[in-house]
Amino acid sequence: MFPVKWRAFGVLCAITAASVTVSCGQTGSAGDAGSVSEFYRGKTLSIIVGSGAGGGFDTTARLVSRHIGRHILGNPTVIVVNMPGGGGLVAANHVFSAAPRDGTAIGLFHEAQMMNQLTGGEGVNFDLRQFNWLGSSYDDPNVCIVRTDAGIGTFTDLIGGAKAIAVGGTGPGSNTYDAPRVMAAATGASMKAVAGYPTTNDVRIGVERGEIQGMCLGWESVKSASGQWLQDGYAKVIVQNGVERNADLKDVPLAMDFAKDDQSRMLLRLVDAPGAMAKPFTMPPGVESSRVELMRKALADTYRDSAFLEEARAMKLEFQPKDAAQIQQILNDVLATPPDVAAKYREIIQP
Amino acid sequence: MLAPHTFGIMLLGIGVGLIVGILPGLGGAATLAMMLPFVYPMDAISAFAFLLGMHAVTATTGDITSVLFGIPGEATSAATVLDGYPMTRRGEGGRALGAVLFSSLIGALVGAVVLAISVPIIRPVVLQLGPPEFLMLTVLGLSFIVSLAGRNLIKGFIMAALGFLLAMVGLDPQSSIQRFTFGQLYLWEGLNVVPVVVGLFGGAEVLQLMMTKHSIAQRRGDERLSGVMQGVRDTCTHWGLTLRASAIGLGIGVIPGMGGAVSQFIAYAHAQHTSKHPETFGKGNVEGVIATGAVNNSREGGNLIPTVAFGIPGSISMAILLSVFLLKGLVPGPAMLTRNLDVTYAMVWVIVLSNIIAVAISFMFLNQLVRLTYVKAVLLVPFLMVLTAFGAYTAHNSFNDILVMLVATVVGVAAIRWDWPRAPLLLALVLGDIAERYLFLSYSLFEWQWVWRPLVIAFALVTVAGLLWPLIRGRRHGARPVRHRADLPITIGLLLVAAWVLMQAADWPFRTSVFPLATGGLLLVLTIAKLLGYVRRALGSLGGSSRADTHSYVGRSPRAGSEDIASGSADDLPDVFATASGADWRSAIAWMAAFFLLLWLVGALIAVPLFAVAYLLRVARQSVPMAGTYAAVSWLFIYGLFDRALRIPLPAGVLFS
Repeated sequence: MFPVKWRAFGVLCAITAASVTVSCGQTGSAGDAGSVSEFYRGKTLSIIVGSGAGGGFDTTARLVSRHIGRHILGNPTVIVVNMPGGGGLVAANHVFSAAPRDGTAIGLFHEAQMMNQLTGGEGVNFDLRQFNWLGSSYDDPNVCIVRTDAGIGTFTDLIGGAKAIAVGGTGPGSNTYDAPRVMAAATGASMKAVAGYPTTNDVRIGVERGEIQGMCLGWESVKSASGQWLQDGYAKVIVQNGVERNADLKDVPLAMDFAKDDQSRMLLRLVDAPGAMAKPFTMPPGVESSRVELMRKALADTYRDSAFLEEARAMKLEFQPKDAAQIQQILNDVLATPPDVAAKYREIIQP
Repeated sequence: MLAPHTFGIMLLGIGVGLIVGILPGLGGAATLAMMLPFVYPMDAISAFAFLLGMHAVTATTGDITSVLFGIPGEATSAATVLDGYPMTRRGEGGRALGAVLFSSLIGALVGAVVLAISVPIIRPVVLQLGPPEFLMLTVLGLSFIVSLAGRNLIKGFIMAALGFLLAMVGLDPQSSIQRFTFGQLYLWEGLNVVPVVVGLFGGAEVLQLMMTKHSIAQRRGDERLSGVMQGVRDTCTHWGLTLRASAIGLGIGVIPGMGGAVSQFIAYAHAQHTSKHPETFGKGNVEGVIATGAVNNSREGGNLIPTVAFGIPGSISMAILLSVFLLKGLVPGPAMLTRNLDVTYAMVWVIVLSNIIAVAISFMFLNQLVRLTYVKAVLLVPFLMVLTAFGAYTAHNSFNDILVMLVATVVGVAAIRWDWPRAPLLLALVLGDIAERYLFLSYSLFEWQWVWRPLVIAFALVTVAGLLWPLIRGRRHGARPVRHRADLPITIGLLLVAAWVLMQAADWPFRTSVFPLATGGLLLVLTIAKLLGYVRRALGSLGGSSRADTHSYVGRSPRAGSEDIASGSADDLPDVFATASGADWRSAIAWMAAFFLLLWLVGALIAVPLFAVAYLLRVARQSVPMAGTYAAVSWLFIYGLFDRALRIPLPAGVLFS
């Protein structure tokens, strides 16, 4: 009995020792190789997502994680790590100052954090302009959809107060709430935003129940989650935000066309800015530039990859990526907003 | 029926679900998300066979750790602990598992059948239920605090008020203003229920085991009555309860926006309401186990209904499932009844079959699992420590989750030691956020007109009837609540908390402050009432000696005579916290602190084996080879399975980052 026990113990020790040697050997050889070509071999690349499993950010991250490895020299393992909290704030802070800077960490958190930084939100311990942006995923202008039976012909019906609608949203800081608030304030439309729904899915059910007549959110989300409504004529898009009309929505007026004054136009552009670089991937500041470039190219290649595109099509996702320079431009513009406009924005989105 | 290869894929899903479901550190939703890549090449029916098969099993296996070790794997398994774990301690682990698994099976079957027949008619029904009705359902759930409070109503209400306050932590849903966050970003999203549940129940039980010299099961149960088949028979005997609990799970599952943990407590309280022995709940009444098992699995069927009928998911798991619908070119909604009827019915079959198979497989291993509860408890401690740590860590993959779990452990230990009921706190924590959210949402949408909606009035009547029912049935004749010396400082502490809450909330805008002010005020009134009771007794007993703590404990003195074993009486379970010596306490706390400190400093891969070696050598007095083997196995397990194969994020250790 005793010798058997000892032998088993010996075997276990041997296995343990062997595994330790192997794993240490791995990290040892990879750590000192400075060259880009060999760096990612045998490494694990983590995509840190600023929301929980199952949401839009998570879906995008997992889709990309299944394909990007093939486009990186050394074919690293790519995993998704969920880090929800504060609408992406936790993940943004983490990627900015705590995540490894050797090129093994990628962040994907809510682009609306730019408004948080602009309005001096609490808990912002980053400067978005200092991140190493890789590229965004979608062009996602805010649109408002309304049930057809609500009796709203065009957006003009809402201006002047002849007719009024209620749209549902989750709460301040989310485009389902902020966008209709700003659009209503900038155009004078009688559009009341109701906050407090737990998720956008609950807002959708609220529309079906009829307690609210519509909702405002990104066009990409409308297409993938409520496309059937539009196809069936159950709901229609009455207004879109942005500087020019989206290719899918040539007949839908821009909120900008109804803006009351210059400041209103600035506010509308402001609330539209995050949607223009929706779901952006980034690396922490301070990552070696060769590795950032490699990853930028890998992401761009992934977006052109036919297997990737086929999967995205099945999931009703249409990628319209923006590159690092475009993202940097949007951030510079937004963060240079005059303080009085930023203050006005903050005031509007307060309930 | 299913084609053979589909059946094979379903078996594969069940296998994955069994392994992953029993491990800590992976919730049902995370598992689904991880397995998504595997379903891309499959056809629609195979994909659902794989995912639903896996999902059905994880819902069932979560209850196993609740029953055996008192550590709930997920928030939806918390109520299973209340009676399942005392049964295990009494040596009836097999019976409890038999009951929870068999009632789960019945629940799943009910859920599947209703799913099959209800899809055509469910749409208009679900659309009748809006925010005002959700609010009333929440109020109905909250009314069960009264029965969960047990013998000591005022303590129960104080714990509920505390739970409510904890639910207020985070950004307020109306205006995103921070409440009770102490400037900690981690608290912005509010307290996640999972670490709280794991600490309140699991953490406290682990500490208890560290002080006991025996096994989890205090004695071997009567073979006839403690076996798995007895649990099956119990479920059949209480078939009415099983069906009613299934109906509750189904009803709440159908409504998107009501969480799973809510339905379990409602079913549990319902079981207590209708039981002939309500006073034995919380001490190992098999009815409590049956209700919590049945409700969980019928809810999964209910959850599927809005996903299929509307294309709108009721939970995160369902959102992931919905993405599979879209991926396979299926449009949820009316087409699921016409063009895709085969898929809908295949889903029903998968739920039915996978539950039967999962329960059958579980039954084969049950007796082995139950044997663990006869092992000397200290041998299990390192393993259970990992279970609690990883279980909590799933919430945000943050060490803060573990800190919350540890704080909840302290609360849980105090609650056990001094008879403060834990269930009302948890129920209020789960429902508090929903209640507040839907009250303001109802008001924003309808002003006060919502109170006249017919279903609101109907739910209000049900609530009132439920509250009056025990009065009509006659007063519960429980033993007089035991008084403890520690109750006085605890009450004073909570009074100070209430005062602090009121001071904090006074500065907030109206909507942000209404709930905290009301709850803080309630806590203040309750604690003052309790203190007045002390003053009165102090005045009354000026002549006599203090009776506190010398009073004979209900939980300690074995009651002689007629013990109704079948209906379960656990009054003779040793109260470890009350009898442990000061040295036992110091040792247990020190070892627990050492483990979590080590985990924080050097991460799971080093902390777990190191702790296992030290603990087994020093406390469990095992031989060096035994301790070494335990540590090596635990290391291989964590490194090989968690880190490499499943890629579950583990605490990495601050020294290395």
